[in-house]
Amino acid sequence: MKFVDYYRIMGVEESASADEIRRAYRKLARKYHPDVSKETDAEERFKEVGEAYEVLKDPEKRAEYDTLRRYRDQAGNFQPPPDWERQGARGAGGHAQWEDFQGNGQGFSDFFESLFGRRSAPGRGDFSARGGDAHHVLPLTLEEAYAGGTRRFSLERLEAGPDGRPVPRRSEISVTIPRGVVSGQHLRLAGRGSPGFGGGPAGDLFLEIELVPHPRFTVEGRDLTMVLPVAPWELALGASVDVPTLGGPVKLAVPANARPGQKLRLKGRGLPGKPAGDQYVVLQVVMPKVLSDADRQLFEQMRRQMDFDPREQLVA
Amino acid sequence: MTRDDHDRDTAELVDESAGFSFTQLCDICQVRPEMLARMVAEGVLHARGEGPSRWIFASTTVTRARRACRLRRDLELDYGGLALALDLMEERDRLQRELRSLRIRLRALAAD
Repeated sequence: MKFVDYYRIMGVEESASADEIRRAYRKLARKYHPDVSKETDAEERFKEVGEAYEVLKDPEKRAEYDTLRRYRDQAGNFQPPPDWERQGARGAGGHAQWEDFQGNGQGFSDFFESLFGRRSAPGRGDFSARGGDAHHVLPLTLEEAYAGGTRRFSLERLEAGPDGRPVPRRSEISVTIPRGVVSGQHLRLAGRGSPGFGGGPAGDLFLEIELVPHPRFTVEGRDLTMVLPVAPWELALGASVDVPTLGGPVKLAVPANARPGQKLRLKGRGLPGKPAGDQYVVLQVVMPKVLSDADRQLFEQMRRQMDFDPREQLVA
Repeated sequence: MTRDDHDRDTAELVDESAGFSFTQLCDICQVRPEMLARMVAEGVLHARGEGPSRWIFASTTVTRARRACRLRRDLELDYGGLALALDLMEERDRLQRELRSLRIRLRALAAD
């Protein structure tokens, strides 16, 4: 078994005081907390730090750990002494400080569990009860949210084992998604949460919708916004142009003398719903390249004919 | 495959006006009711209705509550600090969404 150096993880000396350890933990926890951190390996680092603190903050566990540090070899491998089991017969800790939490779901390393035992789930009395509701984030593309339909995904959840106790099991779920769901909405899957106890019914599974960023559209509620490239003459003269929408291309009437950056609305072309969202189109002029003498003459003619100075306001 | 048939579920959209009950929120966050009740009392979480048995939580509160529980457990924040951290993180999330949206537009503007 690989020896896990909790002091190194925490960045403290072996002689560090309880205060120093707590300070180091707070600092690292803030740095690597998955809700706060942008580091790629944040979750893994956070788990390590949490495990290290779990041991070093508890004088009893720390003393046991310090004793065991002597049994690691140069290569960082480790074999607990044969009589260790009885010494460390403490089982799962009653962590008074966090008894508010019904198990935090974060697994500790094999190293930790061989030393301090597996942390058991809080005991339930001998009664029948409905299972808990479970929660899971379901990322969807905008296209999936628009079209609705069946979506398959897998998740780990508790199921009733052979002895009736809940055991984690990875399972595939197919879910029918209604059209026009948006970020933050929840879907309820009745009876798909944690199993009940003593014959009680299972809880529900709640799926929180999270729309993943789309390369073309930005989303606000059910409304979509996109940038549409147009030619200068389309802006000047007005035009009927094809615009992509989630439901396929539609014609958009660009009014004459439209401004670049002007926002036009395609009513009801956003995400479906009651009411359906709109699609906003931001006009963006794209200049054609002057390639021939004839092209050049056209611009020359515009310059002569049009009384236009775009810097009028700047250089008064 | 029969396994698939067994696992196919029809999801029911949670009605925003119905929201989530206090018990449901406790289940989802996997914490004892006392802690969530304290969070409501301290203004960390917002509930409609009077008293835990009538409390209704909006969908967005579920996300906030889950985060609140993680932060309280892992960073040992007090309730005042928790509310501040959550508000700032939500503001950060909003700004990040806006930044992403502006970047998409900027990319479209810069492209020929």
